[in-house]
Amino acid sequence: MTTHFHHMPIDRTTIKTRLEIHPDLFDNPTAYIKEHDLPIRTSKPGRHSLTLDVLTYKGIKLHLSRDTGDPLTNATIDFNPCKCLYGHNGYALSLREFLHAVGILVSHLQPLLHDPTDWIDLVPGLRPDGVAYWDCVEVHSQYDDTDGRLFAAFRQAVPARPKIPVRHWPASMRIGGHNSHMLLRIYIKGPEMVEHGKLDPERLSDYEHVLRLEVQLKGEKLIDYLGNERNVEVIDGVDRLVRFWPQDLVAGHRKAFSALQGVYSTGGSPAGFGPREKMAPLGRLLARVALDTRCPLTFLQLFEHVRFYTGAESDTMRAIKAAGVEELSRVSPVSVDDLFSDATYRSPLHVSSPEQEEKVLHDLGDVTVHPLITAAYQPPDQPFRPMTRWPSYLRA
Amino acid sequence: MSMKHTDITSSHLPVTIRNLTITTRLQLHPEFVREPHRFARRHGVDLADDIYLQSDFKTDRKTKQRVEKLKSNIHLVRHGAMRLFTKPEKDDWLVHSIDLNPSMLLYNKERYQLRAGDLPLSLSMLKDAVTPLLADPHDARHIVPGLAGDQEPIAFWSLVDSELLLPGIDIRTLHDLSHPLTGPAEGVKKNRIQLGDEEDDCWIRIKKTHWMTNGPDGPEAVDGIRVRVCLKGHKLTEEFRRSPRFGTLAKVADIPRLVTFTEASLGLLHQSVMARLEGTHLPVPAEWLADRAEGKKDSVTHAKVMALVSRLTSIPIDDIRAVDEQIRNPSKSTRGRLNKSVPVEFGRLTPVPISSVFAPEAYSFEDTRAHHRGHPVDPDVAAAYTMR
Repeated sequence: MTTHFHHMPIDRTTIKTRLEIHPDLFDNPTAYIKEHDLPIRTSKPGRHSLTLDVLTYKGIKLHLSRDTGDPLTNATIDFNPCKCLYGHNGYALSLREFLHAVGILVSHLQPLLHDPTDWIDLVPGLRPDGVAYWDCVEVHSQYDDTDGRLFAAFRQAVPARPKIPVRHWPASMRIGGHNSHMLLRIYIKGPEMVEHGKLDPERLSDYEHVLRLEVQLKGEKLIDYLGNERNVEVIDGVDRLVRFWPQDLVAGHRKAFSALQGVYSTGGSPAGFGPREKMAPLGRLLARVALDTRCPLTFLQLFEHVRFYTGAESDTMRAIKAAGVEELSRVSPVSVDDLFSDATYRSPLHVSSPEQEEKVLHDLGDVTVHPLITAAYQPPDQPFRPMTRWPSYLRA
Repeated sequence: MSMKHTDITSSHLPVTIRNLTITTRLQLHPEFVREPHRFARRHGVDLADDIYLQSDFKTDRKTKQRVEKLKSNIHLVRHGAMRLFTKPEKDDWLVHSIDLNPSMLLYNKERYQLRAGDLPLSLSMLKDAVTPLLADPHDARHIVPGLAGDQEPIAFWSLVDSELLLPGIDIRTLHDLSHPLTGPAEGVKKNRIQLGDEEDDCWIRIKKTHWMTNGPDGPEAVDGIRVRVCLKGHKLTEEFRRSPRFGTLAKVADIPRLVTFTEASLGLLHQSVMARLEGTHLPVPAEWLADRAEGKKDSVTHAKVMALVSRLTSIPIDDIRAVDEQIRNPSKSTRGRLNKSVPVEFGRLTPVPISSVFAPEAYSFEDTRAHHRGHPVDPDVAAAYTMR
């Protein structure tokens, strides 16, 4: 039996495609934008390129680059469905809202095309042998962390592969490099939104304990974590993600975060040390010190310092790390099953920002969803979920 | 007007200039605005690229009409060397700011150790490159700050970004860094420590690096760190106000601004900022390095780890030992050995204040590379910017 989810908890995404852009747009972008009264914020031309910030607030950015003589233009579309609808990214969108956002994407970019019927190549997965694909997808979940124990546990996270970098800030951390195919961001959502001007500081107290777990997937990791037999196609000889359903996003998010070590509870009493485990007590010592409230460093930071200062051999350091991770897991209060349960993904925690949402209004016509989009992104046996409120971004 | 040019010869600068920004207000020649390439060709101006107009569309709050705002960058000589940021005002186009990277201009490299005389040389080149683009040639005095004479200045320095190479320091030995101008370092990476954000008026970035130098037996690789200090806006002015000998402040539109500085003062400014850096430098003890070199199997010991952890966290060593007691309940003989070895290892780890790393001696650098020549130095620029 299929497990159904009703949310598309995605943040930033990137679509790559090839389009026949209206020649007048390249010739004189400013005149074209004015003539068609397009809702574009910024137009930035280059030698063979054109970048357009679409919408008067953020949400869609289009970068076009063309080779001489090629009628088709390479297009990179940065698309944030939640920002499109609400002006911020604090919600986990429902499936229906996601479809609305895709409708807005199409209605705003279609006027830039030479042939409006080419809109089908703006959205991945709408036609057989299509050229559009998802190049980057961020999936998130949010948790109430009033006592701060969840963030404290994640601060001690040890990535599965030793070369993956981990960076810390007072209210956030990142696991993975800026250009890596998988990047995990763990942060307290309220302060981040205030810092970016997306939340009124007076509302901070409502959300200063919301912890967000976000995974950004690109390239091969996008296929590894979100791909399956029904959503991957070969485009120009490379496997590409062409569509996803809510359950794909849940599975990818769950898989990415579950792989972290030292965060989730295994419980039990500390095991004794075998005669060959001479270094294991050091790992346990580092873990205990890292968990001391006086300690400004995490287990991994202490571990890296020990490695650097002593120049210890890899085998020794591996043994120390394994014992430390085991100790962190043993004392962790976080249950992986509870954190990533179906129930959690079915009832996501939202952050609202009325001041931002008031700025966003879309015509009903803009959110008309073409049946091809619904067919691609709504699972065929998806149970009907009535809309119980009129979305704030719509006007009749 | 004939101009006598001065040629400057001297030694090196202690820091590399990464970027300089001038804020000014210069009207571009209308013919250049109409036909930039033709105008540039006719006046011998070296445009590095086409000029593209960026349009920002905003809704006017009063009229609710969408208003188009244009802006454009003009790159001269080569990308990254000179950039003029321009915007229209009524019917005219004005240069609002100028970015200059002397290393890129003179040596076609993003960062290059400049020699004494290179700053006035690059400012002269800037002045000569921009003057033909102006509607009024008399405005040339407002290209490079400090040349306005008796007139109220229009141009001033709004960003100074400089960098010091420091050999022999491993970035992993620097801990708990903080600076009164930026706050503490955050998001530290293995090869990079940053204090402050790039949007702030001051940020400091320390990166692991290596470079080649001329040794007695030929080129040698040197490991070390690159320390970049970027100051702008109010904090830039305040730093020069702290040490008036570094440069000259003057009021521009009633606000005190930096209008000139000498080449030598860039090193002094960098040192003055870095001398206030807080935190510790904890070198690897020589005995620990020797253990490693000898390939000792027990290069990592309980005593070393406990001493190190205590040093790094400021948790008393007795508390760390108490945790060890809980974990493994050591035998009497082990306990006895630790009683002797832990204080020894603790004593070997000797932290020093990070500010000592940036003592004035760190700002001496012998450079033997070839010096750029071929462009004369404007005498006014030489007077304002040469080492005194």
